[in-house]
Amino acid sequence: MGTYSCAGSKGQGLRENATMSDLQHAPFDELAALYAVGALSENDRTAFETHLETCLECVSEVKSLLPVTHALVHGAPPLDAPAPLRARVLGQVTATAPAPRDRPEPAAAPLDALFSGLDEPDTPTPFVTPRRRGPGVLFWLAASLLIATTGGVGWYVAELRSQVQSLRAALDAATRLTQRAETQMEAARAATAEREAVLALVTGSDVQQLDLEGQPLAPRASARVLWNNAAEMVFIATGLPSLPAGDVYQLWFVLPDAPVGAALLEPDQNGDATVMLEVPDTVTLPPVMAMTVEPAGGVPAPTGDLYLLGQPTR
Amino acid sequence: MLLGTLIDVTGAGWGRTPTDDRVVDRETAQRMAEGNPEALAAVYDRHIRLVFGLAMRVLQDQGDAEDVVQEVFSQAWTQAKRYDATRGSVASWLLMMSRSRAIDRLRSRRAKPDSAPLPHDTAVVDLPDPAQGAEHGVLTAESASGLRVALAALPLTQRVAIELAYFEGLTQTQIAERLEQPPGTVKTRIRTGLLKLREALESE
Repeated sequence: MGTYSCAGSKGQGLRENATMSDLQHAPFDELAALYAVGALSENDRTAFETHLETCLECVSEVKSLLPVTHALVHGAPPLDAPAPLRARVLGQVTATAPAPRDRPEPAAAPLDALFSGLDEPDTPTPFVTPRRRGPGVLFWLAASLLIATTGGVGWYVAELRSQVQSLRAALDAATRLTQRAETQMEAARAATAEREAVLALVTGSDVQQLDLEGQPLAPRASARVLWNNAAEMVFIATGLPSLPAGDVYQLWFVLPDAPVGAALLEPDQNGDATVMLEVPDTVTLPPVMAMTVEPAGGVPAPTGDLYLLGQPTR
Repeated sequence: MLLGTLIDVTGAGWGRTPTDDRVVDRETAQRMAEGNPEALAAVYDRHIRLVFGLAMRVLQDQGDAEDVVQEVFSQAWTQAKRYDATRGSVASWLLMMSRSRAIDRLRSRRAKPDSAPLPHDTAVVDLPDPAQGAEHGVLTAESASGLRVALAALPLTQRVAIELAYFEGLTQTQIAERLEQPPGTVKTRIRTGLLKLREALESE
């Protein structure tokens, strides 16, 4: 945009945007006329539309000029068309069916509120909060209000509505993707944090451990529980058989009076499972630990078969 | 509101009011949306001179202009249900589609290196002389007389710059090269000309 002179008239502009400095505005000064008549290159037009979203003065000038440029469409002299054209056009066109009238409109969304004012000639033109990026559609909504209320090329509004609906669909899709990415990122972040915690624990100088052995139902399974002086504890198992749907592994601290549930585990496809455990105050270290198979969701006291057992050598 | 009134008399016969035209436009578009070929024929007969004139003004080629006419009426036929008479005349609707399609076609033609050279200086050579307005249909019943008169009344340099942009789809830089003038001069001519047009139309 640097090729445009910055000298300009502020005469009839309505500078209401206090955040827009003259320095920011200067490269775009007086470009409204070029924009309205379609004489900006694609790059300059995009830059100017971005500027429009933050400059009420330029919006005001464009709005005042758009009805003029739209009226210019009537500036070409009418001409008689060749007579055979009529039959050709009418024949080919009517061979295709018009679009059905009763095609349902997409559900209304907040952006539609901007259009609702179009039916009320006295509705003030909304000036929209600046956005980070975009094709300037919101500006066009504002600019088109004048056209609509002066009875000009109001069909343009329908085009805008269509464009906004497309944009909204794209935005919804992008939002869903973003949410999914954020969820995955959050999961990854949590997994990373847990890995780091496990790593810190097992590499600590005060780490202690207890091994659990596979019982007859899972002879190839084994596990190790590690803890430190801060009572941070991790349970690492491998070789666990896969379970039928509806069953889950449940780990227990075995206390003298009754077992206390420690965690539910769902091994990965290799039969591996790692989980950080909270050690209840009632547990004396080193603990006695056992793992059973229980119904999904776990149970308050063990009811199923024993798969792993570990107890300290006294 | 004056501008809207001005636009809406386009395509109307003298003595008809904008309200009459709105009613006709709405009813015709509705019949088109219902698939009535006679309605399309009526719209064609009423507006073809405007549409073809604009397409010829932009493209300067009869074959291309006829193709644009075909596309415009096809679009009007398939999108008639979207037309809203309270928001503009059928003439404006058709003409905006015509300009858009014609400019697209013109730019596409320019992008082809082996295409026929563009009619340079057409804006200067072919501009209707205000004194010969009747020959160009300026005073016919189908014209938007106020706009035409105001455009014709502009100084030639301003009118040429505006028409090169609006009817030939040229950018400020391209107009500057065509007219061998600095870009700043082109910008000033366009802006001054548009402001004069606005003033003239608002005083109608």
